Amino acid sequence: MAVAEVTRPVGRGWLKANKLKLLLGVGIVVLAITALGLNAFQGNMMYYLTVGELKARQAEVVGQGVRLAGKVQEGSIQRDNRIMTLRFLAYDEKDPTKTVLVAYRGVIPDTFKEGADVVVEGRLDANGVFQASQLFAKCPSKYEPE
Amino acid sequence: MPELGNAALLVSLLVAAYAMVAALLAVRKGYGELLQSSRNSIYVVAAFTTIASIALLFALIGRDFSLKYVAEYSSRDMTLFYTISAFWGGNEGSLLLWAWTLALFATVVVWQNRERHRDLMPYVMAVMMGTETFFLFLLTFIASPFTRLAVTPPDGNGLNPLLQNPGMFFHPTTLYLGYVGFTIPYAFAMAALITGNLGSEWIKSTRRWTLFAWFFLGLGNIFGAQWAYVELGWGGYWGWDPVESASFMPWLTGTAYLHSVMIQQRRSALKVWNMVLIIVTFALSIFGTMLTRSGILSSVHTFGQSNIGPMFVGFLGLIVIFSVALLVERLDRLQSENELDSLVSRESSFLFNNLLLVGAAFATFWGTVFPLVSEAVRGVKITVGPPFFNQVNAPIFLAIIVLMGICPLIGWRRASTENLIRNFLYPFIATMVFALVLFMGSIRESYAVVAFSLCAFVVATILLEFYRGTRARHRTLSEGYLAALFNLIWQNKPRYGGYFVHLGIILIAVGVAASSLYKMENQVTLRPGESATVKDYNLTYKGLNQYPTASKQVVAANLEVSQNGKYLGNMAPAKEFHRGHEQPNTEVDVRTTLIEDLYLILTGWEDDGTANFRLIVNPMVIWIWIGGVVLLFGTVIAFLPDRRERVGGG
Repeated sequence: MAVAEVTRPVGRGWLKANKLKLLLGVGIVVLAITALGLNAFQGNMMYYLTVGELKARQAEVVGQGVRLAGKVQEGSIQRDNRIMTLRFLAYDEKDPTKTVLVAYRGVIPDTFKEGADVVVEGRLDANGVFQASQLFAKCPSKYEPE
Repeated sequence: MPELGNAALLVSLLVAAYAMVAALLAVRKGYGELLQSSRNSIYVVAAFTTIASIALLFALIGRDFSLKYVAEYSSRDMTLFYTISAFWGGNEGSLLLWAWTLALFATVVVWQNRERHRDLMPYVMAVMMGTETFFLFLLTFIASPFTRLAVTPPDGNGLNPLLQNPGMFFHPTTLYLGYVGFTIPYAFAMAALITGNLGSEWIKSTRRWTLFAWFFLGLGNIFGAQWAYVELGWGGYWGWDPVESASFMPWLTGTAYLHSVMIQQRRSALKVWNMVLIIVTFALSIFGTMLTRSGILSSVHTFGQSNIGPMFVGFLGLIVIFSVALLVERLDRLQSENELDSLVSRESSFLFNNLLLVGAAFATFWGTVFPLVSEAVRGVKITVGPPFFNQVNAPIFLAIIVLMGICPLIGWRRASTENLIRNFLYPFIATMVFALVLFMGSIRESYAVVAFSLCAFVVATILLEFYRGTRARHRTLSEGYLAALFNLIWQNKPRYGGYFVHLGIILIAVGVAASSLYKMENQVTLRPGESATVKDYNLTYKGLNQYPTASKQVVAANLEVSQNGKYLGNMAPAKEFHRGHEQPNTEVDVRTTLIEDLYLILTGWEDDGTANFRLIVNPMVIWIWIGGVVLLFGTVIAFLPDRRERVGGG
């Protein structure tokens, strides 16, 4: 059976100081988490651009952290497995005339191939080459066959 | 069969909608027959969604490739195990799994409460069936798994090789049990708000459902991590992918809820907060399902674009508006009967634990959805990578671990100095000694020393608690120590089950901290006969082996492994080329010990036999999985019927 609601008001003056302390504690924790979040956010935020957008904002984003989405141009892949380096042209899915040269050193995922969707993380250098430190590739047809 | 499936879905939809309306009308007409009719309708929905699910299973097992879904997610060469798991390999089947699970849960809830909560139940049923109606609507009109193809292909596409791992069977199912499970406490919370029965009744009767949902959500995350670790071949188990974050957030808020309801039951405080938490947790469960299923955010999990996204956004908006409006309407009746008395008390330690958990969930949420927000506001997508999530969450989790040691032992209302000394002096000394030992043992990185010492603190408080309880029983009841320990646990299962859960979390924390801070890696290119080292392992590359199996072509490297000059065995990291899938699949080879994993990845090779490897040593990863088992053990104990429920219940 449901217990009757007790709605006795609570007002105890001598507790005020404690309540204040409690609120202060809550405030400090909330502020600390916010500060932590903002700090980490500023240190790690990066643009998420398509190749076309990168080209349009080239001047603005040189040297800044960018996550770049594009497709791998047919016949543009140059890889050297011995030193694990890779260069290829990434083009914009919507506007294939927009391309950028990507240079990457590291492990090349299984899904990387001509025509694959790639996402690379890195910076555009002064010569207009995108120096990638991370490379993700996705072959969309494997996930959702057309 | 497929026609039967479609028909069953349509019937389920109509009956579920009727059950919702009937339950609501029943309140006006004075319960009685209409409520009974609504209850029966829920059983009917369960029966018909079961029929639809069996129809899909039959179609999959019977290789009926005339169905689009079957042709897309299965193929003739798949084993029965993976053929069954293709059920939730795509959008439509996953939605069906959701709807089916919810219908079964609703049946259990209705049956459990056939004599109880006469006031709450109509609304509980209405909320459950409202949610069910939404999913059945999607299944019937937008994403039916029973759509036919114009031309029947001879064979199906098959499941992506990456998905062909036992994880495919357990990870989605456990996750869904969690997501769907949170519907039940949410439904009770809404019923409590609507009826104005805002005591602790609804919390008490959903304790097990909450525990159940929370546990499976956690387990689903662990299964997902395990799967990523052995299958994706990048040497890690957690990458803060949007979909991972999506299943982690409701777990965080669910954990907060699980703790804060204790304060409401014991001290009748934090009522509004509890309502907010369960609303947020349920909304995040729906959000998680949506992220996985709609492809709104790019992720390794997004299974392609689909048109169910806007529907989900609408449903989510409806839930939030409805819940918040109801909450605001009842705000004046949700006043706490007791205020929190002191900063140094059990209540406030729970409050702070809640703040931290919700803070972690919020930071994770912010990082996950920010690309969408910035695109909408500034027209450019701005994103943050895994380092953001690690930097924010690591300190928060450390603080949570501190509270994990403090919360269960600190006194209620206002902890006295004696209480603090009695409970925390020895654990504190033990922690300091442990930190010193770590420091002497050359573990000097500050993050590591702090993390491991805090874990030791929690373990010390728990051990002290078990020791004192056992000793007290031994003295007063003259039981043997073992019997006393057993009875101690048995007489208060929720409490001691909770301690085991805490131990499980600590083990996971230790594994995560060790493997993130002390991971060692070496990327090498080797010619046959050459050797490389990573940590104190020495690996000699013997050459490549190529061989076909029934469904794939395998290229495996043969490596002779020794540690400090002692031969350990041969390992064979490989790449597999599944037939019908041009993309190869990396098969890592892992040698696991209690201390560390040696994790080898074959990343590529040349025609002359030269091969590239990533050699990784991941310390203490196995403790994450062991922690999961301890978590299971603790949850089962807390789940079992308890003496107190019979004495105090009702």
